[in-house]
Amino acid sequence: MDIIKTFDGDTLTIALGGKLDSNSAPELEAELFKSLEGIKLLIWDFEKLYYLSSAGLRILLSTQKIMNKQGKMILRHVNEIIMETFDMTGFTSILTFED
Amino acid sequence: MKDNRKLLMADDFDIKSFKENEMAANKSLSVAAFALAIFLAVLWILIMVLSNTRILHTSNRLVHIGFPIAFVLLGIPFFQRKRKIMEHPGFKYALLGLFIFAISLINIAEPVHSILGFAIIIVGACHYYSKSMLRVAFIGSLIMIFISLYAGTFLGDWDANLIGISEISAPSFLEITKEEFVDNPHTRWLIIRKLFEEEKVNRYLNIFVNYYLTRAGAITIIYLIALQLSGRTYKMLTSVSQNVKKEERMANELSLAKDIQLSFIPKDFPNNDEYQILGAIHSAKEVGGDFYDYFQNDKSEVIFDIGDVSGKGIPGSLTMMRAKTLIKSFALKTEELSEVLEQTNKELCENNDSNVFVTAVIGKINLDSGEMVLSNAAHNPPLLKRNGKFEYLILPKGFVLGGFDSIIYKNTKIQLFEGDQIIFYTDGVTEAMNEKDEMFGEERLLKLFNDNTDKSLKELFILASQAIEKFRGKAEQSDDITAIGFEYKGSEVMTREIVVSTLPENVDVLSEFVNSYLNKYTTNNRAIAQINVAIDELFSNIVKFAYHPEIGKATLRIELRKNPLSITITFIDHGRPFNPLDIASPDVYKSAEERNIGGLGIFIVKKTMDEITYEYKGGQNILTIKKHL
Repeated sequence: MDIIKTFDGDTLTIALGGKLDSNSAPELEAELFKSLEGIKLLIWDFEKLYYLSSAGLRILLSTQKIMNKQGKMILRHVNEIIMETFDMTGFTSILTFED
Repeated sequence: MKDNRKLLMADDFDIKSFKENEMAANKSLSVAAFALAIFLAVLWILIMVLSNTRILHTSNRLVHIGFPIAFVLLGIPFFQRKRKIMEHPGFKYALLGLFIFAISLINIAEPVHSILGFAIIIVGACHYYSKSMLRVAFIGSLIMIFISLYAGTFLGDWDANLIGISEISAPSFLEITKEEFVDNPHTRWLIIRKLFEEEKVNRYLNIFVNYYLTRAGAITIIYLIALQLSGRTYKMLTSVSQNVKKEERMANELSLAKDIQLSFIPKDFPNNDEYQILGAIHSAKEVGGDFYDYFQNDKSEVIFDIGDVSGKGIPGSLTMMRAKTLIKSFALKTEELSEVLEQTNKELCENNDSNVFVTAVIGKINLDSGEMVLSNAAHNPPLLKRNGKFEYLILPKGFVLGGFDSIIYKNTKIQLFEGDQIIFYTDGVTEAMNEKDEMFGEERLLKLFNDNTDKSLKELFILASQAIEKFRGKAEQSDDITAIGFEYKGSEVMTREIVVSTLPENVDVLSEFVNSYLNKYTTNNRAIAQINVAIDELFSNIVKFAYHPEIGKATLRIELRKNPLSITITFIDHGRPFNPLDIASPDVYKSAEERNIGGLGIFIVKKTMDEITYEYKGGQNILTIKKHL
């Protein structure tokens, strides 16, 4: 999986590529938690993310919980396949989408 | 039944040919009779015109009555030439009788000049190549010469030599007029009697010895020569007809052999959901040396082969039968195709004194997996269509069958995919010659196929055969043209299995494995993504729960079903019994803070797959998911 992090002050943009599954989730988790300190706005760019599994959902959930405390988290360019997973699991109601 | 009839016709041959000859003889004798009739008519007219002149003197009654009758009768057969009566067996005897009658008549009327006429009868009868005909003509002639000689003495034109007195001395000698003397049979008889009395010489015997015997002798010699000639011709005709009969029988047997040979080659071609096979053979001669074959073994593998024997005709066809039978029997018993060729080669090498060789290539296809094994014995490279493009499949060359008994052959494995076609052919295709002695060639064949990649095997075969025929033009087909094609349509159920260690990163291995087959069957990305997510969820469960903290083995089996398209994936591990379906579904309506992530994976799998089942059996966790595609 490709992870591209872009910092802009207290804004962090993470662009993901490929698939977010049980195999790649630990790597993303490690990358993420060392970067979240002081971040007020976290932007996920899913343009190149093909699909995610529950391992990915778990990261999004825990990150959403953190960002609820220190700022805001938004998701961009979510494809239909991933959106369907969000809908199915009720994640649509706890995540914020912006294009 | 058809062939019995052919043989009968061959036996009928000489009867038929002699019948034909008889017709020809009848016709030519009819023409000869007509010519003789015209000749007589002209002669008669001349006699009428010139009688009582110094040039010609005759007042013979026979000429005036007999000649018209003779030339009318002789003219009749000429006008029957196109009638059915010609074919009557009695016609020739009627003709013969007519000639004997007419020539005898002329001989009586003109005893001096007409003896050669009897030769006509013998020579004419000779035309029938029949001893009995000749005998009739000969005996008839002998009798008629005899009769006409004595009859001519009294009734014919005056012949001083016959009587033995000149016309000048006779009238005075008998004291009668010249006319009375010449035309009166009674007077002639008186002269003969008088001479007989005076000279004590038997005048009748004199005629017999001096005239009859010499004439009969000449006719006998002509008869003997004619007898020889017609006997020899008869023998020649018979032997020619026997040869023709022999040749016909040979041709007939060859065509029977061809029928047997062709019946030996399968002609019912399967065309089902899984594959199609099509073969074609076009022999250059009555019997050929090419063959193709296909059959299934007890493992439902399809085996097909093609072969080309170095000799043509009978030796080639015998070896062809042998090679084809050997390959099939070995292929049904032996797993490895290379060994099939090795065994066939050994058998063909034994007592191969005539040095007849066979090139062949065999293919064996596992219909479930699409895996194909090929083995080659110096045959032409097959054509393989893959991804919509034909290419020559270059196989290890091997060596001809029947050459050396210790040849080792090699196997080549290739994976066939849906829509792939493989075509075996013999060199009669690529080496088809045109009138300029150019070869059709591999390149032309490849181009033809690549210009028609959307065509079925049947269409391709028709196109190729038309192209070869067009290329060959007026040149003769020099070699057998044979091909067999196989099209793989994919298996109805394709089953694949992979075993991996329960390490998290192996989910990628599983994903790739499954995707490699899924991508061939569907472009439904959503379903593919869902299946990949399911694999991740289920495999990560196994990683986490089955053997943890140990590492064990997990098996993933896929079954792709074509109609309707669906995939079934089974996960098997030998770890702790664990039924993921027992995990409670999460409450998907809770807020982020209230949420617990547990159970979400299985929840997604249940939601996206069409079926999910779990069983613990024989120490194995068996979890199966199915999705329609």
